[in-house]
Amino acid sequence: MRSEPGPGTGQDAQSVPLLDVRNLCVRFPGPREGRHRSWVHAVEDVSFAVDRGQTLGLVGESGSGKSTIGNALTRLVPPTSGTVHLDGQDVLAARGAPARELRRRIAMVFQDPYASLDPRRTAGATVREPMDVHRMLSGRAERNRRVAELLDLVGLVRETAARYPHELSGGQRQRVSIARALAADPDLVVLDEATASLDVSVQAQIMNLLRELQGELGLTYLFVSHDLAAVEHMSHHVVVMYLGRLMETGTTDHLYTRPAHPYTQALMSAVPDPDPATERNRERILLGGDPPSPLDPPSGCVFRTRCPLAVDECAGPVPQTTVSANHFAWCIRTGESLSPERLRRFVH
Amino acid sequence: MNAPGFAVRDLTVVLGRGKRAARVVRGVSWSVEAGATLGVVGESGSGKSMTVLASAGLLPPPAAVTGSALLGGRDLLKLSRRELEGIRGRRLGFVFQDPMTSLNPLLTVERQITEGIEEHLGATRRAARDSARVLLETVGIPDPDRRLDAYPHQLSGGMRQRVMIAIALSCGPDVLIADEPTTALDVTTQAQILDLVRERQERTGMAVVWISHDLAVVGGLADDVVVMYGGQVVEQAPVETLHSAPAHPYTRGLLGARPVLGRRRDQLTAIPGTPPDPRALPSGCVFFDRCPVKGDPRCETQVPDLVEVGRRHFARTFCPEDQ
Ligand SMILES: Nc1ncnc2c1ncn2[C@@H]1O[C@H](COP(=O)(O)OP(=O)(O)OP(=O)(O)O)[C@@H](O)[C@H]1O
Ligand SMILES: Nc1ncnc2c1ncn2[C@@H]1O[C@H](COP(=O)(O)OP(=O)(O)O)[C@@H](O)[C@H]1O
Ligand code: SF4
Ligand code: SF4
Ligand SMILES: [Mg+2]
Ligand SMILES: [Mg+2]
Repeated sequence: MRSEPGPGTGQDAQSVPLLDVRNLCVRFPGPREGRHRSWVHAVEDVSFAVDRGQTLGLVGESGSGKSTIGNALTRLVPPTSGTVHLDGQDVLAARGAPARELRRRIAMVFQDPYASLDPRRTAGATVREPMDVHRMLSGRAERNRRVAELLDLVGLVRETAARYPHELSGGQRQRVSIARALAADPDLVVLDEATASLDVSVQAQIMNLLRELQGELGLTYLFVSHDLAAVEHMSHHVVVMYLGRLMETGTTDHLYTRPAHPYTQALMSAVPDPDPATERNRERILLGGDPPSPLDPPSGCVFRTRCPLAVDECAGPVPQTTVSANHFAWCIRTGESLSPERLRRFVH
Repeated sequence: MNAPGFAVRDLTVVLGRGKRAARVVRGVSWSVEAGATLGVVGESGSGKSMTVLASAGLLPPPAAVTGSALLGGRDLLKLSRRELEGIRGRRLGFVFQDPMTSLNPLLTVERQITEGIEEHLGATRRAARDSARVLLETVGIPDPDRRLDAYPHQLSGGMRQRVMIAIALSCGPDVLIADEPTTALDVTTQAQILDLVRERQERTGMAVVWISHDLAVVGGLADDVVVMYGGQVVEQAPVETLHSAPAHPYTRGLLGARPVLGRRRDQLTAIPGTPPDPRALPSGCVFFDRCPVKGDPRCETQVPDLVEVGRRHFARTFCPEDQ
């Protein structure tokens, strides 16, 4: 169990990170087997922290627990154990008015702007809603003025306020979702695959917008994505997850230039290189099969059923190992990276 | 290797009539030889799916389709429904973006694979089950015996997509058409599927048409790439040429928009704006609204032709050199 400040914290150990997640576990009830109830181990003992104004990228395959973490922070799902602090305040224990205030300070943007926008509501009403809920500003006229400002901020013309979701393109809908997320003046925005359903050209528009907004408003982001290149582009720190567990965390530069965990190495090697000549000639680590069921995760290192470096000891406890300052990996063979000779044995 | 390859010639698709008619595919031509792979890229709505669906006779009547789709010297658009059904599944394998809508939720994996094998190849039930098992193995599904009896909802997204591919490959097609088969999948699964198709193609010499909205995905697979925008082919070239010397401003935009692993930039070069509405297409170049070049007086008034700008390299722009 780790209880030091999680990776992701800046150099200054004294400062309080904006978001501090410690030993978070989320389990969902699974199917009943006879008299025993099984559990989906969606998130197991996850700790990380994010400094104000920074972006933490959360990356991993489908089912690795990324969205569940975002949902736990925004209290859309109840965590089984662990703590979440925003600016030093306990998010999970808060009740009543302080809880509402904390909810205001954490906003969320989802993957599919079509599904997450109410089809019967105009863009203006959608953006205004959080202000109505939190009773911000005095009166509707002022809120509508703020709606216009927010639409401006995300690069939409003010007339968009009168439009319904089906009258907007995917990129425009995602801009509306972002404007809505900013309406309650949050500190932290959880972006759950916020660009995944968009075309490459529109993804670029939205990523550029998000970075501009961060610079202007000092926002802190949790950027959840399975797109490694997008995460590299957006994040200061990165957390790599597999089957609900931390695999590796570090500053983006460190982690992307020297990935230490076999899983991170395999993930990166699966990303196609846009240069066809490079792509054809490079050696790749191909992971076989699929991740195991979260109902019955392997003992020890959960990656061991697919890991090219797995040995018997991997079924035992896996300690956190330090790769370099602010760069950690959970692997007993950290550092023995998949060298070219080793790699060759696993390329297909 | 004497598989015939596949070609579409001057294909046009119009949805609806009169003022509201949407011209979603406008005179598209391309071809792919046996053993080769054609990548088709472009953003959503550019007409990629409509082109291949129309070419296989999969669009229902309100869609008006003209042009031809040639497979082994026969024009699929001139065949009866019956004849077409004999070709689809047998000589033409299809993989769609969303496997959930194209797999039958009520049939086991085995039934969905063996149906075609029994019907097209006249195999016995027993023999068909054996080939189905082998197919599941080749597409990398662990424990194939157990999976044969599974229903689609019991499989992960990646596994469903691999089942789709197994079905598409089951009768040893001459042509495999894959419409964004990996867009919804993890990179690890995508890598498995790309490898699988490459391997299979090497063995059987089938022609492959691979659709994606991401140029990087087709990079390692395709020989030639067609870039679509607003229902037209705006550029076509061998994949290396397209990467090193893109001639159309839209293609250059696509290449600049994608973040590349290990090559961080402060800003991605986004293409501003949105694609044109196929019901209200501009009178000039279809990319005019969003084009950063607009370097010719004709851009706004005249539709550029697809002209040869290099060896096997074609672009539909008045300004192919303006970088
Ligand atoms: N409400 C729920 N009930 C039961 N299991 C759940 C629930 N929500 C999530 N899970 C399970 O928890 C695990 C983690 O899911 P989560 O949605 O967090 O993954 P993810 O990393 O966001 O994946 P994706 O990339 O597909 O969005 C998965 O095994 C999932 O099936
Ligand atoms: N069922 C449909 N009814 C009406 N228009 C459609 C339908 N399906 C697609 N379209 C339109 O046809 C055009 C081309 O679509 P499509 O071929 O699916 O694009 P792509 O596959 O390149 O994303 C788009 O403008 C789209 O809105
Ligand atoms: S602990 Fe063992 S199985 Fe896990 S990643 Fe390291 S080497 Fe692989
Ligand atoms: S023809 Fe003109 S508007 Fe069209 S892509 Fe070329 S330069 Fe741009
Ligand atoms: Mg998710
Ligand atoms: Mg499509």
